Amino acid sequence: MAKYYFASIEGKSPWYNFAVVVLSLLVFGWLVATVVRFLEGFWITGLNHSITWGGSEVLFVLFVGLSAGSLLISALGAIVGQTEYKILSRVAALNSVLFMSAALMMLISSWGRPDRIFLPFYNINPRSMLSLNAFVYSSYITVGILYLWAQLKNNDKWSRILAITAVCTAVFVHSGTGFIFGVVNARELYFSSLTPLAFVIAALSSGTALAMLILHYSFKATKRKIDERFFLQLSKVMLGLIFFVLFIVTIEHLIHMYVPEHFAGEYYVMFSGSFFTYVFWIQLYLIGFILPITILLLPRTRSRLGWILIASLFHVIGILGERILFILPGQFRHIPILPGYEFISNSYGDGETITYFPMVTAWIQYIGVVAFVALAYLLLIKWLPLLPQEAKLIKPTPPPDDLIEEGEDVEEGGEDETDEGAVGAGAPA
Amino acid sequence: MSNNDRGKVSENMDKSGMDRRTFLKMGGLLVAVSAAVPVGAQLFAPAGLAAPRGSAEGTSDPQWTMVIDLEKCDGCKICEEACADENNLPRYEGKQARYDAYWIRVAETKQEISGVDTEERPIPLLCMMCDDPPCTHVCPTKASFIRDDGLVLIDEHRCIGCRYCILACPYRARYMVFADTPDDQWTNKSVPKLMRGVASKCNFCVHRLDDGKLPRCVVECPNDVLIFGDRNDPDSEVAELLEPGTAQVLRPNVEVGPNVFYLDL
Repeated sequence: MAKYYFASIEGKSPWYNFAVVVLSLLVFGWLVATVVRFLEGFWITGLNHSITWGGSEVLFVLFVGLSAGSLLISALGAIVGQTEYKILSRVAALNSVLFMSAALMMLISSWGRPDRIFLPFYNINPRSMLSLNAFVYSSYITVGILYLWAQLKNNDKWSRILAITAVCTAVFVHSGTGFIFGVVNARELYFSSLTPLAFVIAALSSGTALAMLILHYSFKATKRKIDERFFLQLSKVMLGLIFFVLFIVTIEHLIHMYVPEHFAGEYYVMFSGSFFTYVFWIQLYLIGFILPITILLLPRTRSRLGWILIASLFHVIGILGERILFILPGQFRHIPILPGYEFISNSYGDGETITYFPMVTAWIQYIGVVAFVALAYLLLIKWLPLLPQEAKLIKPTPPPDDLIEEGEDVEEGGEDETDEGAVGAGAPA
Repeated sequence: MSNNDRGKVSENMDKSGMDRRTFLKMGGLLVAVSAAVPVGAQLFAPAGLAAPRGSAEGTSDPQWTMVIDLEKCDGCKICEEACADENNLPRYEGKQARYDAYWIRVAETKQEISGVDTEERPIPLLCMMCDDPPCTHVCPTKASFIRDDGLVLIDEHRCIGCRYCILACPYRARYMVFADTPDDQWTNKSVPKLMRGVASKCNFCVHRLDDGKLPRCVVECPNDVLIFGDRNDPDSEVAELLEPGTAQVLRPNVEVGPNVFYLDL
């Protein structure tokens, strides 16, 4: 009879302590940068009159998306009946909450007035997707925390109910995030009804990819065992999702090519030789789609863990490119305010070539938010029994009394997983 | 049939037929949907369809309108300076000048004439005070709103600085305020300084309108390029200028109902 044992990590190794200290400093840096940005104003961010949504928004949508895959893995056990995935459910649910929190940290710290954080909750504009999302995002985090709590209490009934609730909320979260951009009909490259769908699927595929990386390195760094077949199964799910994303992204761009109004914008992204052309062909299509699909299809590589992890990393990088294409080119393209006229010079940059690069303050914010996810993860797997001692892919026969049993507090010496930077390092044959 | 069997039959009937609880649930759902449809229709209807504001039947609300006669504009940019002076818009020096705010800006453009010749044309651009403004639709806190007289305004104390409105504006008429207006540039003490971190834009000098005065750019323009008035008043100059129907709006395809019109575009 299989029983699940969850145990917190010991977290006493020098590497763990070192990582906690460094990450804490980086998170503190985020706090300082956010306060400075608020007090000084937008001029220290690198934004300008043309590019008003920059790197913070790219990372915001990336993080929102990444939370989806973890939730998918977490809910597989409760919803689809893949009970063997229950063993990964706790840690995956934790990641889902952490990524969503990071996304909100990124978004709110990018506002001009983060001190007015509660205003959207009582000045509701029912037509604004961003206004509705304030409620969707906060309920998602609340449901996620309750779901995690129900699992820690071994309450199967509530775990299941909350897993279903979380998945339903997630649909709103991800399509709602896509809506924010899809409804902007003032800008040719934003306006699309496919955006919400593309967002949901890309969120699932990239989120699953990142969740696999996190799971692998968490188990490896704490010297716990995880059945490789989990990754083989998940990689097949991911492959299907990658095909789906590829399909949607491709038809969206193709359809835009046929619309005279959108053609110039699409040409700018796909063929003009601009920065975005490289992001589109190399980062998104080559690294994000073609390489992972090849790796996951070739008989030589598709069943080897190392290659699966490499494919996952590639896909996450590719989806970062997709998020960049989501936010930035639509602003780099000039709005055709005066068709038939050519701007000679202008005080507002109408006719200028737009340049944008985030300033130091913005970079400190980006790094700080990533550090927050890592720090919170390291601390929580130390304080709470979230990681299983061993994850096997066998359907457990239901035990008579309790299905899940709390393990002892201590496992092997906990170590940090962030020192396992190179993916190739974890490539057993 | 034994009692036991009867129990089974009624159980099956409950499953296949509709019991009272299901009926109530379905009924409730139906009521909710039928209530939601008109609410949704109201919410998303373009302003012209939902509730025509200040229609010809003669409501008391004015419809403030600007007509820009491009033939008269020589690109002197006095309107830009007057606007900055009136509304405390900062003018920075050196590299920082790219953070200057222009609520009205004169775009210097050139237009091809008959395929060979080009003609330079200055074109003033400002907030179009749309009937159906995308900026107010996307604002998450209702900081951007339409006043009864059709003015699209920003409550800068309610703005959270998310910049969604700037992205949604089809005319690039909205500006991020990069920093507080420096004290030495607080030229007009009757109007507050610009507040950092929020969105800002032309408000047709709402403080002057409420005092019965014309917007400052209209007053200062030496060539009478900018003509301002209430379109609902048939005797006003703007109503007369719009009467022949030759005035044009920018980007008519986005259908947001601009209230700034151009002659000789």
